[in-house]
Amino acid sequence: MPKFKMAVACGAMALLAADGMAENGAAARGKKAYGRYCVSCHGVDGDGRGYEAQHLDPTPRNFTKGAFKWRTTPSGQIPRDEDLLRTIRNGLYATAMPPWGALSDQDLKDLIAYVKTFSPRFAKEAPDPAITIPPQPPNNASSIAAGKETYQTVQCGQCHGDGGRGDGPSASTLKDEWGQPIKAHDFTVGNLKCGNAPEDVYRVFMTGLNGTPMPSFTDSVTPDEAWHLVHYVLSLRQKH
Amino acid sequence: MSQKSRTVLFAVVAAASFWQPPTADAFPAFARKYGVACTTCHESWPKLNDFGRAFRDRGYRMGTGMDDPTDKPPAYWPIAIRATPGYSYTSQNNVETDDGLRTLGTGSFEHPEMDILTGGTLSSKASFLAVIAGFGAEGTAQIESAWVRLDAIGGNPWFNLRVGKHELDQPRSSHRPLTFTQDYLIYVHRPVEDQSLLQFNLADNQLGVELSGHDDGSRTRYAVSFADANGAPGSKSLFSSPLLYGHVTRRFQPFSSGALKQVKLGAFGTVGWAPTRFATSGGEPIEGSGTSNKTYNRVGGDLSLWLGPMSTPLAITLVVAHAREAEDFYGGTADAKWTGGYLQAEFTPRIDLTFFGRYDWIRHGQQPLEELSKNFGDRDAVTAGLRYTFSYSSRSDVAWHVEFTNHRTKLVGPDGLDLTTKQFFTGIDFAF
Repeated sequence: MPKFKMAVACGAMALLAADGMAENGAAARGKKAYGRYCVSCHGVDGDGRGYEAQHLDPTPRNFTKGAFKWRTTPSGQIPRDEDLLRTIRNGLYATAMPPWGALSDQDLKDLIAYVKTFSPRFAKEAPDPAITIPPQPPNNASSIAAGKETYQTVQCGQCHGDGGRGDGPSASTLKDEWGQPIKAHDFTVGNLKCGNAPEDVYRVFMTGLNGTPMPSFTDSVTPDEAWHLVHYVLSLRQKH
Repeated sequence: MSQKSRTVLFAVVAAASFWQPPTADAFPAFARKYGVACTTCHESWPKLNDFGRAFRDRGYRMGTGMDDPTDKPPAYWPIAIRATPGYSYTSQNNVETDDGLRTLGTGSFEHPEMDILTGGTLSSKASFLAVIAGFGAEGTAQIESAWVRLDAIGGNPWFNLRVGKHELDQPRSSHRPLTFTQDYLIYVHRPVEDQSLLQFNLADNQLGVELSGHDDGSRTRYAVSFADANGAPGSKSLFSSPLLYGHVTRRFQPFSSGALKQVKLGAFGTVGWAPTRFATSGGEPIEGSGTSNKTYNRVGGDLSLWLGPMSTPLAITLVVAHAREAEDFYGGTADAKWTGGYLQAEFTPRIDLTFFGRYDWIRHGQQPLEELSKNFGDRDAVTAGLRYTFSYSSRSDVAWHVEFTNHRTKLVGPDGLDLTTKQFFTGIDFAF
């Protein structure tokens, strides 16, 4: 008899679950996952105003403008799904955004589908292909020296400081697209937000970080110069 | 012991063991630290979800470079409390009275017990947990957990060493149950409890060390404990009467689409040695005098399925295990052998609402005492309930909890009758 009761209970739950699964669009599923994992920071409306946002620095991303920092697409573009996937899966170092790699692939895809509903740009625009990252030249002393020159030429130090500590003369004045104060990253300690691989750093130089004062340098430096800059920035980190 | 006295003892034990306040492990201190809601780590608190398991396995780290104590304001102190005040009604059949056998019931608001928990990271390489549980009607409390863990030794997440009083890595944690009125029987059952020299059960936290490891996301993980079993009276030392326990699991997505979203397979087992002879004082074993060690073991498997969206899933868990304890522990004529397990289902249609049900069973294959029939003490328990979390945040959680249990034990009543205990509980479970 107990087995029968349990079977009935399981059956009833299965029916209820099946009912829930009828709402099976990726975005609909993602909404549930968003409500569980994301809403406390990014807010019900995806505007970065969750109840925890006031306590967080940097503040959570506002999704409504479709402006995302970490992309493979050119400056100003909306991100590709794989860009959002990388951010969600790996998290963002030195922020409250943890790596959600423990979630299933399906969960992550559903989350992305729902996050994209917050901005009409995703319905109207198609993201460009990922930028091409040329082969990395040797990371040696001459490359680092050349990178240091580029660092000075494009005035990275204005924000990030001459030593890359995020203490440049403009650092205290920086604000993001929503008027929130924003810090220039300190390259010398910890990990890099975008990832520590040279390709990750190269990508940031060439795509910029949408919604922040960090521009794209794709028009002002050559790929080789960008790679030298990557080597110089990574050398700052390696010193410490 | 006579059948009647055995019946009375069983009734007392059953009544005492029924409403057990939930112990540990819902920990808003972590939510406060990271600014996330309880739903981040809990499928339905206190049950962990995939993210919560990975967070735990990483040594209570999010991995954002802001995990260490020095990354938080000095005032941050990782402490939390949990209690579950509520009303409980219990009835039992075949209670012997002067007027014959009767079914009697009692109900009251239980004296709530409380857990005080502290835990988290000590540095980039170590974490800890300490739980003091109790403070009930007797006013006593005990250290339920107290351990420190060296995390990712050598930077390798496959090597973590935990030292201290810790929970064995059970298929479903007995310290994070959704059911309050019914233990996982396969963890705690023992035939003719009162005649066994052993007190060990899988649900109790153990004193010792645990080596564990996991991959990224804790999809594959293992844990091996080497402990001084708390159920080995008279033990000389950890090394003379140890307990070895191991559990390995693999979680995977079998299909790229469809209702079945995730599967977890696991295998677990334990073997322990304990004295069967010792000097006594006042009838009590003297520590260190134990000899003639005999073995006991458990071996089993677990299967978990998640259907529907992983954030609001139907989760089904099946655990089956076989147990054996040497006859010497009972002064019997044959080893005690039994099998059992549980089938548990939890459905969370919304992140604040969970329906749950469980069927526990125990079947004896061989009794240690000749006079006992084979199915003496066989058990069946059905538990069902719901849990509605009407307030949750990164500071606190408050849930309304209601459940009912029907627990039948074969032949242990007067004249060999079955005993059936029913219990209803409703209360408010809160953690802060």
